[in-house]
Amino acid sequence: MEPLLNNQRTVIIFDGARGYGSSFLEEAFGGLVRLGFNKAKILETFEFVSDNDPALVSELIDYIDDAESEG
Amino acid sequence: MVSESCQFITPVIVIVGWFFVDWRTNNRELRKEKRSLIDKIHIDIDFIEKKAIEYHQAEYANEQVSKEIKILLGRLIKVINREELIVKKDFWIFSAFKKAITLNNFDSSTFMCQSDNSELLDKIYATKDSLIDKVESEFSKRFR
Repeated sequence: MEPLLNNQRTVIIFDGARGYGSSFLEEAFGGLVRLGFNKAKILETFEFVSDNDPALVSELIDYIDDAESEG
Repeated sequence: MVSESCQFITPVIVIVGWFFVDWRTNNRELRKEKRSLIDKIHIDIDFIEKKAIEYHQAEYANEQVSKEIKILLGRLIKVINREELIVKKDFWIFSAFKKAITLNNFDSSTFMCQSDNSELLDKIYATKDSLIDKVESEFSKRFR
């Protein structure tokens, strides 16, 4: 959350971990929306990199969209 | 004059024929390779489904099984991506399978054992079928 508060551009590299559960990704990124950050701000602050799992970035953007539409 | 043309045409036909046969053989071998890879993918997807059912129907949230499922899903998408078993625009079908398993009731403090007819398990079966169907249709499109 710190990069969002400090307007600090941050690259998040997902490669290297042994997989991510959708529940974790939803909680982390959908959670940012529920905390009050909008999609534009999140995407402006974070750059997501996932070479090993190319489906992951669009998956977490879906969570951001879903959280926005629920909010 | 005619015999000179024939002398030229014969080697051309032989070379073109050789290229055609070589292309057909390579294609057949590639098809065989992809087929056996896809058969293996079927086994992997079935295993992930089995593990997911085991996890969601257990009496408690088994951290070891959840870790194993995440690793297996990670391996699966790597192979799908590397071998181009589905096109990038259809990756959401893999994501739907992953979400069905790991979005709800997963790594959660409020774990609930799922009954045989639960919506969550139905979603896992349905998304698994869609993923297998997509892999098979891509294969059919490329090799038939």
